[in-house]
Amino acid sequence: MTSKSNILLLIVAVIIICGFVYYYQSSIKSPENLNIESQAKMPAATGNINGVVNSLIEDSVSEAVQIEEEENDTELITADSQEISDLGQSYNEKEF
Amino acid sequence: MIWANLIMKKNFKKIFISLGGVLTIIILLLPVLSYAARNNPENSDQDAVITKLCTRLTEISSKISQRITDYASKIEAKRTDRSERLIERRNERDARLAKHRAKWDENRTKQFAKLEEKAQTDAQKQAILDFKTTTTEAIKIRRAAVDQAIQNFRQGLNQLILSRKTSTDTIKATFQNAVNSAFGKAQTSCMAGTDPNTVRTTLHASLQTAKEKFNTNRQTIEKIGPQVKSLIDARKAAVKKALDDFKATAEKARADLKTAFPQDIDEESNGETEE
Repeated sequence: MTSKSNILLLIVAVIIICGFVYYYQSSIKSPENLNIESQAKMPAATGNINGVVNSLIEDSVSEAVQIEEEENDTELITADSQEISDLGQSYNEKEF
Repeated sequence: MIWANLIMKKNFKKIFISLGGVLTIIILLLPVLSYAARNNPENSDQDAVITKLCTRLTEISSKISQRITDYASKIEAKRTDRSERLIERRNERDARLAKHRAKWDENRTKQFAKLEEKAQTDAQKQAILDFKTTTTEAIKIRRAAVDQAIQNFRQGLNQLILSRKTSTDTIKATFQNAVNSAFGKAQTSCMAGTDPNTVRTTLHASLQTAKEKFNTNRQTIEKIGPQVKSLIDARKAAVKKALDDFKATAEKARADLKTAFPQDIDEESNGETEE
C-alpha cells in the first residue's frame, strides 16, 4: 500500500514539475508576452523638461533596437545552399 | 665501282616493287580481314560489351539529367519560399514599426500637453512651441533617415539574392552542358567501337572535372560574408548617424527650453512610467 502511494505521489510530482516547466517556458517565449513587455514601459507625462527630452531619446533608441531585426534576413540569402550543393552530386561515380 | 652501283640500283627496284606488292595485297584484303575479325567469337563478345555500354550510357545520362532537373526544381522551390518569407518578415516588421511610432507619438502628445500646463508667461509658451517644433521636425528627419537605411539595406539584400540566383543559374547551366557534352562524346566513341574501358575512363574523367568545377564555382557563390557585412555596417552607420543627429538636436532643445524656465521645473520626479 505504502509503495503504491509513493509511486502515485512520484507520478503526481513529476506531472506538476513538467507542467510548471512547460508553463514557465511558454510564458517566456510567447510573443504576446514579449509584446506586453515592450508595451509596458512608456514614460509617464509629468511636464518635466528632462522627462520629456529623455522620452524622446528613449523613443529613438528603442526604435533603433527594433529595426536591428532586419539583419536576421541575411540568413535567408543562403537558404538554397543545400539544394545547390545537391545539384553538384547529380553524378555518382559508383553508377559505372 | 660502276658495276656495284648498277647492282644496288637493281636491288632497290626489286625491293620497291616487292613492298608495293605487299601493300596492295594488304589493302585488298583489309575489308575481308575486317569482316573476319568482326565474325570472330572473341570480337562478338567485345561487340556485346560495347552494345551494353552504349545502352547503359543512355540510361545513366537520362538518370543524371533527371536528377539535375529535380534539384533545379528544389532550388526554385527554395527561392520561392525565401521570397515569401522575406516579404512576410518585412511586412511584419513594417507593421510593428508603424505601431511603435504611433505609440510613441501618442506618448509625446501627452508629454507636450503636460509641459504646456507648466507655461505661465508668453515667453515660456513660445519656448515650448519652439521646443515642440524643433523636436517634432527632428523626429521626422530621424524617421526618414531610418526608413532610408532600412530601404537601402533591403535593396542591397535583394541585389545579393538576385546576384546569387544569376550565378547559380550560370553554374548549373555550365554543369549541365558539361555533363551532356561528356555523354555525347562517350556515345560517339561507343558507337565507333572504341574500347569500353577507354570510353568509361574518359567519361568518368570528364564528369569528375565537371563536378569539381561546379563545386569550386558553388563555393565562390557561397562567399557572401563580406558583402553581407558591408550591408549591415552601412545600415548601422546610417541609423547611428540619424540617432546621433537627433540626440544632438534634442539636447540643444532641452538646454534652450531650460533657459526659458529659470525656476527649476524639473523638481518633480522624472523616473515615473505609465502602463
